[in-house]
Amino acid sequence: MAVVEHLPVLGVAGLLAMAFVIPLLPEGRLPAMLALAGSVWAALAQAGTLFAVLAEGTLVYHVGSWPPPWGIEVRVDLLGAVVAFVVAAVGLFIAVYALGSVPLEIPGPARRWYFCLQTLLSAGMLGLINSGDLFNIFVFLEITSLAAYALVAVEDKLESLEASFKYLVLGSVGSGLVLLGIAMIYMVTGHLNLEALAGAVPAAAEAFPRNLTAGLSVFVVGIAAKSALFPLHVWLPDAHANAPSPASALLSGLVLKTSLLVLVRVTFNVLGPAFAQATPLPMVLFWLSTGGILLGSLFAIAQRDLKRMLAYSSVAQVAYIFFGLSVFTHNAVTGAFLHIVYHAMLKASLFMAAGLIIARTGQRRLGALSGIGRHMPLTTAAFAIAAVGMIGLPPTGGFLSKWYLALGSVDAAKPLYAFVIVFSSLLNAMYFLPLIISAFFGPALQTLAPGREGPLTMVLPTLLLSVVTLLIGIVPHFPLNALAAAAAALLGR
Amino acid sequence: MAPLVDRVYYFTSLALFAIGFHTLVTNNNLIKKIMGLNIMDTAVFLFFVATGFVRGGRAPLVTGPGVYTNPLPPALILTGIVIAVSTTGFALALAIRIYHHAGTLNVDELTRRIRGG
Repeated sequence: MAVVEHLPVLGVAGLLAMAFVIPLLPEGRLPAMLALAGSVWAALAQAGTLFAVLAEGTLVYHVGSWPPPWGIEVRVDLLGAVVAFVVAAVGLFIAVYALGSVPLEIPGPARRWYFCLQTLLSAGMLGLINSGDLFNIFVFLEITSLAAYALVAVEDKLESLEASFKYLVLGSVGSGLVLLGIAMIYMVTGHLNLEALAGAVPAAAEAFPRNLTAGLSVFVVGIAAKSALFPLHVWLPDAHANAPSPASALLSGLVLKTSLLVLVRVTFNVLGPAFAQATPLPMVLFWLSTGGILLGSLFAIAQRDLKRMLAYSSVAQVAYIFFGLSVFTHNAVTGAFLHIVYHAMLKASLFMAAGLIIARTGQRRLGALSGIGRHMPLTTAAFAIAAVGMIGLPPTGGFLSKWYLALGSVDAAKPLYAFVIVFSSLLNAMYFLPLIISAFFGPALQTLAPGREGPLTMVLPTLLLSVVTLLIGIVPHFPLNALAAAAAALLGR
Repeated sequence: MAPLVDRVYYFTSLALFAIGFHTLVTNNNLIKKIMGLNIMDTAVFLFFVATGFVRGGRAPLVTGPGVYTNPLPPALILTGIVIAVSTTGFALALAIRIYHHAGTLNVDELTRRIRGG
């Protein structure tokens, strides 16, 4: 236990140190290698943490041996351990992919800044998930957000600069509101530590119910802006479509999920499901997420650009997670947690495959992808596996998370909710299936010079990630059992 | 009047937030948008610091008579200010790069340049 309990802190500290060193290195292979080393380090640290948490339960660590009221507490529960491991592992796949992709996409001097920001982003996300203190969560949320804004702008093109500015404005309004929400919760409880808050909330809810409700509402609006819940999603398509491909995979797959985890912390860990259910929160989240699911999919159908289509699909998929969190039943919350994990993997592999296709053909238009499967069989196969998962066909993981969301809606005696899920799967099929069919069976429109599909460092992680996603959809015991237990623990408090 | 005077910081913070948001939404100039963002951040900081304020309280030294103000919110807001400064710095850097590429800071002009080709 002695070494293991330091792991969550060591992982984040190592990443922060590397993010500081990378810009000081000379241009060349060195920054890329150090960033890769950082991702390996973080994945190992989170894997160790996950094993410890699975074996012995929640891991509590006091930084500098100062106990909570004074010191900073690191608290890794089952949900945090699983999500942090997935973030670190998917981050590792993307880091390998970036070795091949960054030299193709980003001009020379900016490359080490890409690797610096990628490392900083991972540090922010893992720190946020492992933190047991509301203000630390805010600080890490801001580290993540700043790194994300900068990753969008790293190519220094007008479109990406403008997208980054739009992202920054909405993200900063969001973080201001999150801080305001934290202030309102702090002023009636006097605590920032998650455990101490959970103890103080029942008395505060008795004496000052309006303050807590007001705090929760500004908080939810802030998180909605950060996680692109409809109608605050307007920044997402521009930002995710204009970022370099590995950055799009990081932003769409991982960053959106970490701010959702903050919402879980506040509604479930701090305020508790009983309090949150008594507020209008479930109803508001239900209508907004239904709007996001339907309109996100409809907008995705209307897109002509590959990466914009994937970005709009993220608007819809994130709404599924909000949807699951708005239904306070065990199956629905399990489904939401599963969707955090599966969508992180699926959307990352989709953006990685899209990056390969764009790098090989120089085309972003969907119409130009006809027959691409003959030139790039491995990439298109990876894309197809992930797209089928996104539609939610069995036996993929995407089916499992939607199945649990639908079951949870039925448990809550709200069959309308289940209908929304089934209907939206049809909409997903409407934009993914024609693309896959024309990619494999359509007439080849382009004459590409014969050659490899792309650098091995790009093809291999893309294919491997989609195969892993398929495998843990078929044998779902690892994420499913742990996340179901996490959902039961959070709902039971 | 007393309840209003007691909560003057909260009302001020609310007003500042509204002013900042209005500036952010209604201005077409990128720099003015950044200013609006800063005013909003300041409103939140004022709110957070006001939660720890005690009327007639003294500086939070352990020895000494009477009530003292809560030292935690100012300490936290110091971190908050650092974050706001770095966000502002990055936003201004973005504005400089945008001006370098497009020669304008007007949002409508920018949108026309990007979408209109």
